[in-house]
Amino acid sequence: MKPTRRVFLETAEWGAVLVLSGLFLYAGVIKLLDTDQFYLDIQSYRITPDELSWWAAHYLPWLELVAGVALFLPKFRLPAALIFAGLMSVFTLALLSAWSRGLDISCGCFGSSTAEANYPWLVVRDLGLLLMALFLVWRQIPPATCFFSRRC
Amino acid sequence: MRGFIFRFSGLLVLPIFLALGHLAFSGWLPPPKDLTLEADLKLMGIQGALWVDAREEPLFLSGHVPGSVNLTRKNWDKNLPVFFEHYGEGQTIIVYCSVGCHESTVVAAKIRELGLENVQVLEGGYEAWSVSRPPKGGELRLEGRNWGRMKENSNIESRNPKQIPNLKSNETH
Repeated sequence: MKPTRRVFLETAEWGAVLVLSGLFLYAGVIKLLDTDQFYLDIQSYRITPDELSWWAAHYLPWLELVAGVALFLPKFRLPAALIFAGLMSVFTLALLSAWSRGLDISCGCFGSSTAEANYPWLVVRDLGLLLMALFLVWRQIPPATCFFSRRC
Repeated sequence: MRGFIFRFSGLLVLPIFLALGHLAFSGWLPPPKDLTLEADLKLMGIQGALWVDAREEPLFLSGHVPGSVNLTRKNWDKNLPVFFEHYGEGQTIIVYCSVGCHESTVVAAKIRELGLENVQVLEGGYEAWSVSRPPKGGELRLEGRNWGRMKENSNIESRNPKQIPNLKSNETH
Protein backbone atom coordinates (compact mmCIF):
# COMPACT_ATOMS: atom_id res chain seq x y z
CA MET A 1 0.00 0.00 0.00
CA LYS A 2 1.33 3.47 -0.88
CA PRO A 3 2.42 5.48 2.16
CA THR A 4 0.07 8.33 1.24
CA ARG A 5 -2.93 6.04 1.08
CA ARG A 6 -1.93 4.32 4.31
CA VAL A 7 -1.57 7.63 6.14
CA PHE A 8 -4.90 8.81 4.76
CA LEU A 9 -6.69 5.66 5.89
CA GLU A 10 -5.11 5.73 9.34
CA THR A 11 -6.07 9.38 9.76
CA ALA A 12 -9.60 8.63 8.61
CA GLU A 13 -9.75 5.71 11.04
CA TRP A 14 -8.72 7.85 13.98
CA GLY A 15 -11.13 10.56 12.89
CA ALA A 16 -13.98 8.03 12.87
CA VAL A 17 -12.90 6.70 16.29
CA LEU A 18 -12.89 10.18 17.78
CA VAL A 19 -16.22 11.20 16.25
CA LEU A 20 -18.06 7.99 17.15
CA SER A 21 -16.59 7.71 20.63
CA GLY A 22 -17.12 11.37 21.43
CA LEU A 23 -20.69 11.29 20.19
CA PHE A 24 -21.70 8.11 21.98
CA LEU A 25 -19.93 8.95 25.22
CA TYR A 26 -21.74 12.29 25.29
CA ALA A 27 -25.06 10.68 24.33
CA GLY A 28 -24.63 7.97 26.96
CA VAL A 29 -23.98 10.48 29.74
CA ILE A 30 -26.91 12.69 28.72
CA LYS A 31 -29.24 9.69 28.68
CA LEU A 32 -28.03 8.45 32.07
CA LEU A 33 -28.70 11.86 33.60
CA ASP A 34 -32.37 11.62 32.54
CA THR A 35 -33.44 8.05 31.82
CA ASP A 36 -37.08 9.11 32.19
CA GLN A 37 -36.76 11.40 29.20
CA PHE A 38 -34.94 8.70 27.23
CA TYR A 39 -37.73 6.27 28.09
CA LEU A 40 -40.21 8.81 26.70
CA ASP A 41 -38.14 9.14 23.54
CA ILE A 42 -38.15 5.37 23.01
CA GLN A 43 -41.88 5.20 23.75
CA SER A 44 -42.64 7.91 21.23
CA TYR A 45 -41.55 5.61 18.39
CA ARG A 46 -44.36 3.21 19.37
CA ILE A 47 -42.32 0.17 18.36
CA THR A 48 -41.56 -1.62 21.60
CA PRO A 49 -43.82 -2.49 24.53
CA ASP A 50 -43.51 -0.42 27.70
CA GLU A 51 -41.45 -2.94 29.66
CA LEU A 52 -38.94 -3.42 26.86
CA SER A 53 -38.69 0.34 26.33
CA TRP A 54 -38.00 0.80 30.02
CA TRP A 55 -35.22 -1.81 30.06
CA ALA A 56 -33.75 -0.39 26.85
CA ALA A 57 -33.75 3.10 28.40
CA HIS A 58 -31.56 1.76 31.21
CA TYR A 59 -29.34 -0.58 29.16
CA LEU A 60 -28.54 1.44 26.02
CA PRO A 61 -26.76 4.39 27.72
CA TRP A 62 -24.35 1.99 29.43
CA LEU A 63 -23.80 0.10 26.17
CA GLU A 64 -22.92 3.38 24.46
CA LEU A 65 -20.49 4.32 27.23
CA VAL A 66 -18.79 0.94 27.32
CA ALA A 67 -18.50 0.70 23.53
CA GLY A 68 -17.36 4.32 23.34
CA VAL A 69 -14.44 3.61 25.66
CA ALA A 70 -13.70 0.25 24.02
CA LEU A 71 -13.28 1.94 20.63
CA PHE A 72 -10.00 3.40 21.86
CA LEU A 73 -8.61 -0.01 22.74
CA PRO A 74 -7.16 -1.76 19.66
CA LYS A 75 -8.22 -5.26 20.73
CA PHE A 76 -11.79 -4.11 21.38
CA ARG A 77 -12.12 -1.83 18.38
CA LEU A 78 -13.68 -4.42 16.05
CA PRO A 79 -16.39 -5.61 18.48
CA ALA A 80 -17.09 -2.00 19.49
CA ALA A 81 -17.38 -0.94 15.85
CA LEU A 82 -19.77 -3.82 15.19
CA ILE A 83 -21.89 -2.75 18.15
CA PHE A 84 -22.00 0.82 16.85
CA ALA A 85 -22.93 -0.40 13.38
CA GLY A 86 -25.74 -2.47 14.90
CA LEU A 87 -26.98 0.44 17.01
CA MET A 88 -26.97 2.89 14.11
CA SER A 89 -28.81 0.40 11.91
CA VAL A 90 -31.53 0.00 14.55
CA PHE A 91 -31.77 3.77 15.13
CA THR A 92 -32.03 4.47 11.41
CA LEU A 93 -34.72 1.83 10.91
CA ALA A 94 -36.67 3.19 13.89
CA LEU A 95 -36.51 6.70 12.43
CA LEU A 96 -37.67 5.49 9.03
CA SER A 97 -40.50 3.58 10.70
CA ALA A 98 -41.63 6.65 12.67
CA TRP A 99 -41.36 8.81 9.56
CA SER A 100 -43.43 6.43 7.47
CA ARG A 101 -46.17 6.38 10.14
CA GLY A 102 -46.20 10.16 10.37
CA LEU A 103 -45.43 10.15 14.07
CA ASP A 104 -44.76 13.39 15.83
CA ILE A 105 -41.88 12.12 17.91
CA SER A 106 -41.12 15.57 19.24
CA CYS A 107 -44.44 15.27 21.03
CA GLY A 108 -45.45 18.92 21.18
CA CYS A 109 -46.63 18.36 24.75
CA PHE A 110 -45.31 21.55 26.27
CA GLY A 111 -47.74 24.05 24.83
CA SER A 112 -45.83 24.51 21.59
CA SER A 113 -47.14 23.74 18.14
CA THR A 114 -46.69 20.15 16.99
CA ALA A 115 -43.29 20.76 15.50
CA GLU A 116 -42.23 17.60 13.71
CA ALA A 117 -38.79 16.04 13.99
CA ASN A 118 -36.53 16.93 11.07
CA TYR A 119 -36.62 13.42 9.66
CA PRO A 120 -34.49 13.92 6.53
CA TRP A 121 -31.66 15.43 8.54
CA LEU A 122 -31.85 12.75 11.24
CA VAL A 123 -31.80 9.93 8.68
CA VAL A 124 -28.84 11.43 6.82
CA ARG A 125 -26.99 11.93 10.09
CA ASP A 126 -27.59 8.37 11.25
CA LEU A 127 -26.61 6.93 7.88
CA GLY A 128 -23.39 8.95 8.05
CA LEU A 129 -22.60 7.53 11.47
CA LEU A 130 -23.45 4.03 10.24
CA LEU A 131 -21.01 4.44 7.35
CA MET A 132 -18.35 5.57 9.80
CA ALA A 133 -18.93 2.49 11.94
CA LEU A 134 -18.82 0.20 8.90
CA PHE A 135 -15.59 1.87 7.80
CA LEU A 136 -14.07 1.06 11.19
CA VAL A 137 -15.27 -2.55 10.91
CA TRP A 138 -13.67 -2.81 7.49
CA ARG A 139 -10.43 -1.38 8.83
CA GLN A 140 -10.33 -3.79 11.76
CA ILE A 141 -11.16 -7.02 10.00
CA PRO A 142 -7.87 -8.80 9.31
CA PRO A 143 -7.33 -10.88 6.21
CA ALA A 144 -9.39 -14.08 6.35
CA THR A 145 -6.32 -16.32 6.62
CA CYS A 146 -5.12 -14.30 9.57
CA PHE A 147 -8.46 -14.33 11.36
CA PHE A 148 -8.93 -18.08 11.33
CA SER A 149 -5.36 -19.35 11.49
CA ARG A 150 -4.21 -17.29 14.47
CA ARG A 151 -0.99 -16.51 12.64
CA CYS A 152 -1.33 -12.76 13.07
CA MET B 1 -11.86 -16.14 16.80
CA ARG B 2 -12.55 -17.28 20.33
CA GLY B 3 -10.95 -14.11 21.67
CA PHE B 4 -13.13 -11.97 19.43
CA ILE B 5 -16.30 -13.71 20.61
CA PHE B 6 -15.22 -13.30 24.22
CA ARG B 7 -14.52 -9.57 23.77
CA PHE B 8 -17.73 -8.98 21.82
CA SER B 9 -19.83 -10.79 24.44
CA GLY B 10 -18.09 -8.92 27.19
CA LEU B 11 -18.99 -5.56 25.65
CA LEU B 12 -22.65 -6.62 25.48
CA VAL B 13 -22.85 -8.15 28.95
CA LEU B 14 -20.95 -5.55 30.97
CA PRO B 15 -23.60 -2.84 30.41
CA ILE B 16 -26.23 -5.21 31.85
CA PHE B 17 -24.42 -5.31 35.17
CA LEU B 18 -23.78 -1.58 35.07
CA ALA B 19 -27.47 -0.93 34.38
CA LEU B 20 -28.55 -3.22 37.23
CA GLY B 21 -26.13 -1.48 39.55
CA HIS B 22 -27.45 1.89 38.44
CA LEU B 23 -31.03 0.77 39.09
CA ALA B 24 -30.15 -0.63 42.49
CA PHE B 25 -28.46 2.62 43.39
CA SER B 26 -31.20 4.93 42.10
CA GLY B 27 -34.20 2.91 43.24
CA TRP B 28 -36.23 0.30 41.40
CA LEU B 29 -39.29 1.70 39.65
CA PRO B 30 -40.78 -0.22 36.72
CA PRO B 31 -43.08 1.74 34.43
CA PRO B 32 -46.77 2.10 35.30
CA LYS B 33 -49.21 -0.12 33.48
CA ASP B 34 -51.10 1.49 30.63
CA LEU B 35 -54.86 1.26 30.41
CA THR B 36 -56.49 0.48 27.13
CA LEU B 37 -59.47 2.50 26.12
CA GLU B 38 -61.72 -0.54 26.72
CA ALA B 39 -60.53 -0.74 30.30
CA ASP B 40 -61.07 2.99 30.58
CA LEU B 41 -64.69 2.57 29.47
CA LYS B 42 -65.19 0.02 32.26
CA LEU B 43 -63.63 2.40 34.72
CA MET B 44 -66.11 5.08 33.68
CA GLY B 45 -68.59 3.11 35.75
CA ILE B 46 -66.32 3.29 38.75
CA GLN B 47 -66.85 6.40 40.78
CA GLY B 48 -63.99 8.14 42.42
CA ALA B 49 -61.01 7.66 40.09
CA LEU B 50 -58.82 10.74 40.24
CA TRP B 51 -57.84 11.87 36.75
CA VAL B 52 -54.56 13.69 36.34
CA ASP B 53 -53.96 15.77 33.23
CA ALA B 54 -50.23 15.85 32.42
CA ARG B 55 -50.55 18.29 29.54
CA GLU B 56 -49.47 21.92 29.62
CA GLU B 57 -51.90 24.35 31.19
CA PRO B 58 -53.19 25.94 27.94
CA LEU B 59 -54.18 22.48 26.67
CA PHE B 60 -55.73 21.61 30.04
CA LEU B 61 -57.77 24.81 30.03
CA SER B 62 -58.98 24.19 26.48
CA GLY B 63 -60.56 20.91 27.57
CA HIS B 64 -59.97 18.11 30.02
CA VAL B 65 -61.55 15.14 31.72
CA PRO B 66 -64.11 16.56 34.18
CA GLY B 67 -62.73 16.80 37.69
CA SER B 68 -59.16 16.15 36.58
CA VAL B 69 -56.17 17.84 38.17
CA ASN B 70 -53.49 19.44 36.03
CA LEU B 71 -50.09 18.12 37.12
CA THR B 72 -46.92 18.22 35.02
CA ARG B 73 -43.22 18.22 35.76
CA LYS B 74 -43.23 21.94 35.10
CA ASN B 75 -45.98 22.87 37.61
CA TRP B 76 -45.23 19.98 39.98
CA ASP B 77 -44.41 22.09 43.03
CA LYS B 78 -47.28 24.48 42.45
CA ASN B 79 -50.03 21.93 41.77
CA LEU B 80 -49.03 19.02 44.00
CA PRO B 81 -51.01 20.46 46.96
CA VAL B 82 -54.04 20.73 44.68
CA PHE B 83 -53.56 17.10 43.71
CA PHE B 84 -53.55 16.03 47.36
CA GLU B 85 -56.65 18.10 48.07
CA HIS B 86 -58.49 15.98 45.53
CA TYR B 87 -56.83 12.66 46.37
CA GLY B 88 -58.54 10.23 48.70
CA GLU B 89 -56.79 7.33 50.42
CA GLY B 90 -56.62 4.29 48.14
CA GLN B 91 -58.13 6.14 45.20
CA THR B 92 -57.31 4.97 41.68
CA ILE B 93 -55.23 7.60 39.89
CA ILE B 94 -55.38 7.78 36.09
CA VAL B 95 -52.85 9.98 34.32
CA TYR B 96 -53.21 11.09 30.72
CA CYS B 97 -51.69 13.54 28.29
CA SER B 98 -51.92 13.86 24.51
CA VAL B 99 -51.76 11.02 22.04
CA GLY B 100 -48.15 10.46 20.97
CA CYS B 101 -46.91 12.11 24.16
CA HIS B 102 -45.63 10.26 27.20
CA GLU B 103 -45.42 12.98 29.80
CA SER B 104 -48.20 11.01 31.48
CA THR B 105 -45.84 8.09 32.02
CA VAL B 106 -43.24 10.29 33.69
CA VAL B 107 -45.83 12.06 35.88
CA ALA B 108 -47.31 8.68 36.84
CA ALA B 109 -43.85 7.46 37.86
CA LYS B 110 -43.31 10.60 39.96
CA ILE B 111 -46.66 10.05 41.69
CA ARG B 112 -45.67 6.49 42.47
CA GLU B 113 -42.39 7.76 43.92
CA LEU B 114 -44.52 9.59 46.48
CA GLY B 115 -45.60 6.19 47.76
CA LEU B 116 -49.04 6.18 46.13
CA GLU B 117 -50.10 2.93 44.54
CA ASN B 118 -52.72 2.09 41.90
CA VAL B 119 -51.48 4.67 39.41
CA GLN B 120 -52.41 4.03 35.79
CA VAL B 121 -51.67 5.74 32.48
CA LEU B 122 -54.38 6.16 29.85
CA GLU B 123 -53.26 4.92 26.47
CA GLY B 124 -54.30 7.27 23.68
CA GLY B 125 -54.43 10.23 26.03
CA TYR B 126 -57.08 12.89 26.17
CA GLU B 127 -57.81 12.45 22.51
CA ALA B 128 -59.00 8.91 23.16
CA TRP B 129 -61.30 10.13 25.90
CA SER B 130 -62.34 13.38 24.25
CA VAL B 131 -65.98 14.39 24.12
CA SER B 132 -65.64 16.01 20.72
CA ARG B 133 -66.24 14.12 17.49
CA PRO B 134 -64.93 15.19 14.08
CA PRO B 135 -67.45 16.50 11.57
CA LYS B 136 -67.18 13.37 9.42
CA GLY B 137 -67.50 10.90 12.27
CA GLY B 138 -66.55 7.23 12.05
CA GLU B 139 -62.92 7.71 12.91
CA LEU B 140 -60.93 9.99 15.11
CA ARG B 141 -58.47 12.41 13.62
CA LEU B 142 -55.97 14.82 15.06
CA GLU B 143 -54.67 17.74 13.04
CA GLY B 144 -55.12 15.96 9.75
CA ARG B 145 -53.37 12.76 10.83
CA ASN B 146 -55.18 9.49 11.22
CA TRP B 147 -53.98 7.73 14.33
CA GLY B 148 -54.31 4.01 13.70
CA ARG B 149 -54.75 3.08 17.34
CA MET B 150 -57.59 5.50 17.83
CA LYS B 151 -59.28 4.09 14.76
CA GLU B 152 -59.36 0.66 16.36
CA ASN B 153 -60.81 2.10 19.56
CA SER B 154 -63.14 4.60 17.91
CA ASN B 155 -66.30 2.83 19.05
CA ILE B 156 -66.48 5.09 22.11
CA GLU B 157 -69.79 6.82 22.60
CA SER B 158 -70.06 10.47 21.73
CA ARG B 159 -70.22 12.14 25.10
CA ASN B 160 -72.31 15.23 25.45
CA PRO B 161 -70.77 17.40 28.20
CA LYS B 162 -74.21 18.18 29.55
CA GLN B 163 -74.80 14.49 30.27
CA ILE B 164 -71.76 14.11 32.50
CA PRO B 165 -73.13 14.52 36.04
CA ASN B 166 -70.00 15.92 37.67
CA LEU B 167 -69.20 18.46 34.98
CA LYS B 168 -68.51 21.79 36.64
CA SER B 169 -69.92 24.95 35.12
CA ASN B 170 -66.51 26.51 34.48
CA GLU B 171 -65.20 23.57 32.47
CA THR B 172 -65.59 23.83 28.75
CA HIS B 173 -65.20 21.24 26.03
